[in-house]
Amino acid sequence: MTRDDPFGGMASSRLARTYYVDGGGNRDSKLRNLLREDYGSSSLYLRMFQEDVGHMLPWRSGSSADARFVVTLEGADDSTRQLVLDSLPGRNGPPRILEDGIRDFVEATSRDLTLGPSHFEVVFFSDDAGDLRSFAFEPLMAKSVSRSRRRVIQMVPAEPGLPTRRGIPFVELDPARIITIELPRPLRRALSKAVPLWRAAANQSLRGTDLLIDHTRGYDFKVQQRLIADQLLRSTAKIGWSGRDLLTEATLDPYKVARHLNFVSFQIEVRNAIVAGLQRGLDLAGTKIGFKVKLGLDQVVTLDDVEQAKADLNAGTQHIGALMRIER
Amino acid sequence: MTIAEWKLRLLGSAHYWIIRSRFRAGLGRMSAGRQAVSVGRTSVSERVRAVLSLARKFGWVAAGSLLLWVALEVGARVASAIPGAPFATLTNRVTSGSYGDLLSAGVGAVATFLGLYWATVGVVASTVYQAAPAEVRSLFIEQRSGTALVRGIVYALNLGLLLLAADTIGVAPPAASLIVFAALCAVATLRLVVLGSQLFNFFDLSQLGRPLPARFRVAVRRAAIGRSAHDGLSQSIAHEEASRIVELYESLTALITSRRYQHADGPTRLARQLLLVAAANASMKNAIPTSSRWWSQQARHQNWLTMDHTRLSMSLATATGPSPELVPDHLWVERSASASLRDLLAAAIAAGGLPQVVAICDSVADAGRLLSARFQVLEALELIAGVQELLLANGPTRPEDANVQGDRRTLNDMAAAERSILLLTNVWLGFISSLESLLRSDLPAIFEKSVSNPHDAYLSGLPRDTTTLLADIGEKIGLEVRSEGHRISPNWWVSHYAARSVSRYVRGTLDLLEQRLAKQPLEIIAGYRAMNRPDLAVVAAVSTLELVNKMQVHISTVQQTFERLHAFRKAETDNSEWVTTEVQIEDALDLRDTISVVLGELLPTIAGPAHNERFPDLYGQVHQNLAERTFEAIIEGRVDTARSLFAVLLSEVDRARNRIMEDLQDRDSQTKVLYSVEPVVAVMELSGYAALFQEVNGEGIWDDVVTMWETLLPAGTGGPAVELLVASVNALDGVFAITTGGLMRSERAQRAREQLRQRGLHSDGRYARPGHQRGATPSQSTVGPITGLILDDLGLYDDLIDVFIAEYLEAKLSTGTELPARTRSVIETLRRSRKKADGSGGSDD
Repeated sequence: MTRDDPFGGMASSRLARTYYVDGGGNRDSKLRNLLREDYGSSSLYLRMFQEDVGHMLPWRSGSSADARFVVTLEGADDSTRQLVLDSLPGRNGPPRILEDGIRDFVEATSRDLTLGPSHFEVVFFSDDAGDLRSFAFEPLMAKSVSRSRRRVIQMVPAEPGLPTRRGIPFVELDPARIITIELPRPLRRALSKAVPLWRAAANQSLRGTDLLIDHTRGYDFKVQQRLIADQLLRSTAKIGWSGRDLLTEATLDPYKVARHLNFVSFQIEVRNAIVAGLQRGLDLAGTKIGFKVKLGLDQVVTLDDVEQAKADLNAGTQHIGALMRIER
Repeated sequence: MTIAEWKLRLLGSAHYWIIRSRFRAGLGRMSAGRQAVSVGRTSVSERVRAVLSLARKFGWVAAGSLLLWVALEVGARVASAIPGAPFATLTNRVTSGSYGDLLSAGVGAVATFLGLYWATVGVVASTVYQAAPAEVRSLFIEQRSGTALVRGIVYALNLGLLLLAADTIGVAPPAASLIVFAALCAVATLRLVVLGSQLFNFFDLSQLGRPLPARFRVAVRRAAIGRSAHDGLSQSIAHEEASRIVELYESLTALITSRRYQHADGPTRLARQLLLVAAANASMKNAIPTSSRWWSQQARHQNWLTMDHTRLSMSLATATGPSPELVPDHLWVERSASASLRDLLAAAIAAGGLPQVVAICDSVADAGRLLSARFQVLEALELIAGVQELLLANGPTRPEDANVQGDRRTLNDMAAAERSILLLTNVWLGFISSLESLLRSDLPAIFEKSVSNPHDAYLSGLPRDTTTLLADIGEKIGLEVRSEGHRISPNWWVSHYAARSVSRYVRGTLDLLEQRLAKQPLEIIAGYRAMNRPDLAVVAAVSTLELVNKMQVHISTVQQTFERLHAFRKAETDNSEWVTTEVQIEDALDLRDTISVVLGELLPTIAGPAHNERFPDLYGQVHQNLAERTFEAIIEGRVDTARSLFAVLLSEVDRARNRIMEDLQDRDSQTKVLYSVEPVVAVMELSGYAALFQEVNGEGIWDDVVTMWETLLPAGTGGPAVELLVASVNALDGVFAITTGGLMRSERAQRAREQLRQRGLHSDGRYARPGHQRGATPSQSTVGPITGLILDDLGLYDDLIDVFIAEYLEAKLSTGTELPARTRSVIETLRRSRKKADGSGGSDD
């Protein structure tokens, strides 16, 4: 067991498979089609949104060892804290500090959540004596998992002897160890309305070039962009995302701030849903291994902060530039 | 697929854009149709008015004819009811054979009328209007009265021809047709009589312009009010109509100025019509949207040093320049009107119509005031520019205009010179009244109303940039409501930017006006001096002093406006930079000093032997003004101006005295003495003030004043000049009546005391008035003897003449010279004060 591989030499309870969507081993076109919907989106707006929504916890400044927010683990001693740190999948290998691990997990999961529920498997590691020593959260590709009341299956590339569903092979997972994270219903509804629009808008913007080349009568690029922006802003008020100001270019400063604050609210709700899912995973792992901790985040923007910012905007008691900088 | 998704997909479809384009074109055609109907309605109503006007003119004759016909008909019926009546045959219905001749004669007559009318029109068009542009000829041919006549004739002719045709095919027409035909023939004849009386109008170009202001009003209303104001095609149609009218005036002006007119009525009539056009434009233009096609377009070229990256790289890569941007020209009507006015008034002056031109100038000044009161100062300056240019270039009547009498000519020239400044004064007053209306208005409510409906922004009456901004904000707030279901941008944010925009207008306008006022009057005065017309230069200079006075009086309104607007400033916005709200009066005061010095230079050149009551007393006016300005310059510490003006007054003492003596030669000797000593005592009094304020300020013109007196008075004691001064003082002392000069001196003393009080100098407490802070006052010992004297004696020593005598003249008096007791007292008091200050004894008693 090393810092880079905290689970070395231990037996894993992992059932899910890891594979690449377009990897050499995956020649199953049905599976590729199913999964590409998640990751192969050609929509400019959707891709930008997925990137932006993940940026909800601040990065460390430069080479500083200190995070700009604090992860609290109530009831955890040093060894439990280390266990939790080891359980988190890092962006580039195991995270060095808890804050990095939580931020990477939240960021990766938030992208999945834009398209539907996100799942991760709680994997336990036991020593030679069969005692549970450690655990890990293993994210699963969102669309590869299908969950019913009693079963959880993962669609995987073809292997001899695997059962299939609608022509796609799958493996059975342990429902008790699969944690599913879902956004609150209003946010899910807002996203299910917005995502097709972002896709459609990106396509229509691309079509604009063809219309220009063809000298289509009456076509006006600026008018088209204004109408697209108008429609997108109108349909995504709950989410608040402004397409990196592409959509709000011709709007007033207070509106830009209000959209920004709405988007920060959205991000906070996504963050809260992910942290709640992680807590469920920790509760499960704690029950098995023998610890009880409560995960929390400090020094992060809360919904109360956003409400206060909205009140400040209305009353004119805060500089507009400062309100635009409220984030994460 | 949701509706929103479907709409987005639609935006990428070529069909959508093609259908959208067709739909908009259809809307445009509908709008054009509505417009045509509206234009037609206007045209019909104009024709109806023309017909009614004609009907009014021959109404009595027509009514008489009708009465005659009724009497004949009634008579015929009565006669037919009486068997054996002598006139029974009149009641019989006529046969075709009997009315054929009547018809032929009637048709022949109206056809001849028609031919005559067109022949006349043709002759006039091919002679008088030979060189006129096609638009002007059309205007002449389409004159409403003429059109109404032609229509009446054509109706009669057609009916007559139909009756003849009916006869040839054997159809018996009803008797009523004959009567109607005859009536139409009669009306046509009567119309021709009326039109014939207007025949000479055909030669008057100004008559052609009469319907144009009304047409312009209709066009500008179309661009400003109602649905058509926001419809692109209607805006274009309105602009075309208005620009046609403006061009017609340009053409008429060119025609009228190319003729040698013997009378100024024609050009002045056209000028008045142009002013009506300008007034209609001024009253409506604030309501016209900034993006409207009503405005002419002018090119705005890019600044290469501040160009955005895309354009710059594209231009450099292709070795081309970016296309200029087309921006609305908000002054297109005023610019054209100003140029035409200048030419028309020049033609009027050439025809000896300076009095009419002066009257027009008053109207232009009123129009300028109206425009600037509506936040249209640029427009006002544009409108008056042509007239100012004209007044300077052609103002004084030229010697060759022999048809103008000498006195009248001079008076007219003076009136014109006064107007050259009055135009600017009115623009300033209009600007101030626009600020006063701002101060009275509920600005937050106006801002809110403007953004709640962008169309309302243009009815707010605020400056153009502000209404444009508010309309833009209103449209963007509309987007907020559409996307979020409610408005986001708060009131404070809107008010901040709107008030900031108004402040920028006020600052920009104030700077512009101050710049113009600092330059133009001096140019005008210099122009008149160059023409060797000092009298006109004086008139312009005195008018400028009035203007400066108005600026001084109203500058507090500007300050209040800045303060009111600044209250809306919020540092929390992204752009809280604000214009300087400081208001400087120094420039105006400098101008006042400069003008006063110029007046001082001009004073000797306008002095006649006596006042001529047929003309304004320029010499007396300037003399009095200079005395006042000199006093102000002394107490305000404007040393150079004070020195220069005092020298003028001192050198003019004899001339002024002689003039007064000449003017009062029929009056009693006491009156003569009372008035003739005033120029003398005025310079003595001013010298006293020079001594006082030199003592207060530590610097001043007292030394120069003494030097100037030294050049006048001989060395040693006594002499006629000294005796004159003493006699003047004694003469005043012997008079118990309240004189104008005495009252003026008291007023000046009050102002001087006020000036001292403002500097913290006043009595040490013995006579302290309520409100004075004793602890903060300098003690008696800290002020000089003259100051102490003036401050302590509650007006007893208001007259600074005594100070001059004590400080200077006493040394020149011969032994035993009689002086008033008050003067002796002042001399003694000052002597004691000085001794006390030197520590050499003396008593306060």
